[in-house]
Amino acid sequence: MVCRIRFRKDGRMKFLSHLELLKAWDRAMRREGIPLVFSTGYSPRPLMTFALPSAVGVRDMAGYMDVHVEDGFDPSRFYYLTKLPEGLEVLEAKEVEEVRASLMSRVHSADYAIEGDIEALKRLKSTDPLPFVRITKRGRRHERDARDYLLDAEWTERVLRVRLLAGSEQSIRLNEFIEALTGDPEAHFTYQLTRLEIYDKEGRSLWEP
Amino acid sequence: MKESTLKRVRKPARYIGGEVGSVVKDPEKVDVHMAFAFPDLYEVGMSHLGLHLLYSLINSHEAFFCERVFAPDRDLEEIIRRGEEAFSTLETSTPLRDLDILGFTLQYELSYTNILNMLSLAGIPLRSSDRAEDMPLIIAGGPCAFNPEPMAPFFDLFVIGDGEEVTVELMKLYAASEDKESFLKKACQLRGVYVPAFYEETYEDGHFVGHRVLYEQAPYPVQKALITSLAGQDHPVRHIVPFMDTVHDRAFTEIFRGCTQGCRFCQAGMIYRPVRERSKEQVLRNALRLLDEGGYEEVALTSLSSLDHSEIREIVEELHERTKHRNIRLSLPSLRLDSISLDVLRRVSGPRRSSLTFAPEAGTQRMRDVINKNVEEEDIFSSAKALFEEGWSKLKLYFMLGLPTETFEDVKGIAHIARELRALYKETTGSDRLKLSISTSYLIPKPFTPFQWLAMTPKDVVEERQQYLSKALRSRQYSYSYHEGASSNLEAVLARGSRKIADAIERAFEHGAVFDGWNDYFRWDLWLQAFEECGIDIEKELGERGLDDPLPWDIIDPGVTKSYLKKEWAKALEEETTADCRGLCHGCGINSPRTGGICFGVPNPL
Ligand code: SF4
Repeated sequence: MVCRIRFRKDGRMKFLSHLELLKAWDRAMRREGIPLVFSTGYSPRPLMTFALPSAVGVRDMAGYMDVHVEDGFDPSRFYYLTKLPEGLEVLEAKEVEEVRASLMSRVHSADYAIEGDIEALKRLKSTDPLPFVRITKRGRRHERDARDYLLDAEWTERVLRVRLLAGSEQSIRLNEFIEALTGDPEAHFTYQLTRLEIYDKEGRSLWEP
Repeated sequence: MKESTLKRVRKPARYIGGEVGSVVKDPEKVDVHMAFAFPDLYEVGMSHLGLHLLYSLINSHEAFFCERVFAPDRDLEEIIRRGEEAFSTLETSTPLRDLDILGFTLQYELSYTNILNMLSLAGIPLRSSDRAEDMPLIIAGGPCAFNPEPMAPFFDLFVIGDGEEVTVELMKLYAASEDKESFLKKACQLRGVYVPAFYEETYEDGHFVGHRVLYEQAPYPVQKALITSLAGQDHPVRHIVPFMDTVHDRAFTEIFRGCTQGCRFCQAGMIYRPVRERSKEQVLRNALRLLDEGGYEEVALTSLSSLDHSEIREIVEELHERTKHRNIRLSLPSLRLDSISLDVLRRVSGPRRSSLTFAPEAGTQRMRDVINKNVEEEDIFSSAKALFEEGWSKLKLYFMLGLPTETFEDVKGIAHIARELRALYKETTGSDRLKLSISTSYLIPKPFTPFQWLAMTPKDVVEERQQYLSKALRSRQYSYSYHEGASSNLEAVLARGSRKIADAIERAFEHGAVFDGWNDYFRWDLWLQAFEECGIDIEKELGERGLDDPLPWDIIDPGVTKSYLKKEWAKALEEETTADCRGLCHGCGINSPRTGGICFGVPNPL
């Protein structure tokens, strides 16, 4: 059977790369004695799939993982994991009947909270284009407009909340977005960044199967 | 460390701490606050068993707190140098200069400049004579401490030999001592402790002639610390489980210490004598506990020659039985290509697609006899055939160049083995797809080996042999790689140097030498400059030592006697081998009355 887990990644854990995070979960599950189901083949691995990794340095309230466990397992056990490293926490867990598409392939957009000097981000309120340069793997420079990736924005006193395209077809990284607003490629270091939720094309949370 | 720093550096997982198995205590509430310092990057240091072992052991004492610190990568180093971040411990971000004790491990000579760099980043004066009373005590241990002299001026104290018991004794003594000097005076009475300030080197006409003892109670020579049995030593019962990929990312548990093979080039084989095994029950208990508590997917049974454990078959079988449902891989480092027992190999080597590593070390039987690598050519081929039949198609072979009495025939022998293996693979499997990687390193004449007096073979001689192999092994089936001469020469100079070398190490560091073991960073020119400025003749340092010359490392007594090493050297020249001493004691000296004849109950015949 497959369980879907929504987890928080916070504190020092936000500095793990995606691969490091996978390994941390793999080892945590083994320590807990969760009855994992393994892939077949030469080097069997636990069957665990993740949605979009959040960037290094970004807190995550919307980590999603599908993990295969032996039938008859009680998903509520995931709420009582005691051997997780500090900073990882299971927020919700349930059995999913049928996984139609991989978590990764469903990712379309995500909500982020940007906390800090949001005055410096006010260019967003204008209607000017927000250019930034993206350098491709082959070293080509492409000029892009951050507005093309912006679905929604909401301001409070200290927090800017934005919904940005995040899927495989079109996506923008938070550091690119903040650079487009401030003109400073290092500006993102000064904000507290949190991913709040991930959505599919229909605007449904990835929590839904 | 500050968040803003962590956001800026590459691979921040190196610096976050908080791993499962790491320990945090309140430094205010312990008697001794120390850090174990590994002078290389986190991913290298965390693969080192000794770190986990001492960390777990020290922290099991309520009154002591041991943290960790590793060499920062260059990007973090810059941030620290700019003053934006203090160089501090992993667990509690304590600046290093606020510790009571900072203990480095000396695993390889090419990390020496990293030690100076770490002290300098911490704002700690490099030389012990320049450090005030309020500075931490800077100590060291590990294999390179067996010739402590090149690093002697930088350390207050060295631990020689098995560190477990004596480290705890030292910490107790430290807690009870008034000041550094009274501590050091008492500490030098402990077996295995060397306090360099209590000795000086003496020279005649610029030649090293011996040590003078400056504090009459200080022993000469300093005997290595020796734990006679590992039965009570179950540390580490916990590992620190890293987040990032480390060099050996797995649980590892030591199954025995020491080695009876007697390879003449191998320092570890001499200085870690005698063999002390952990029982099957102990090994299984440790391994299973590490797997349970760490959540690892692989466990390595480590030692200098793991197949030599008297119960290795039973251990491997039972561990396999008890872990197979969890998909745990077992691995045995340091396999030998002789009498391989395939059933063990099947259990430990994982997928057949992965490659197996062996070290025949030399290309001809004659040469292997000289170095006492007791593996026969027929064994190599018959084991290889069996492996090929089992489906393995990737092999890695290690050899050395610059061995004593080596001729071109011996070098050709390496290419010959490679060709024969290829032909054998074709004959066995009908395919031409064998992937063979061959690598050669330089023989480095290390202290306390029968080769310790030898000259380092000149670089150009070895390079010619490397070129020959590069040509002979030019084919898609082979890949040939070799160690560089310059860094090997540096390693030799640092390994056999006297205290005079310390000046050059410091000078090279000042010129910018750091991470000398990393090809990308190694700068031989800086070292040449430093040697010249300090008046050190490298040709002489690399040259031969007379059999009766006083040696800088005579100050240490590893248990194995000089007369035994001389005998072994004479046998090497006669191409005479010395069999594994499990069957027959050759009188190396380690089981002299002092240690109570602990080698397999076989009395020393001498
Ligand atoms: S004393 Fe004898 S048995 Fe013990 S290590 Fe030395 S040679 Fe081997």
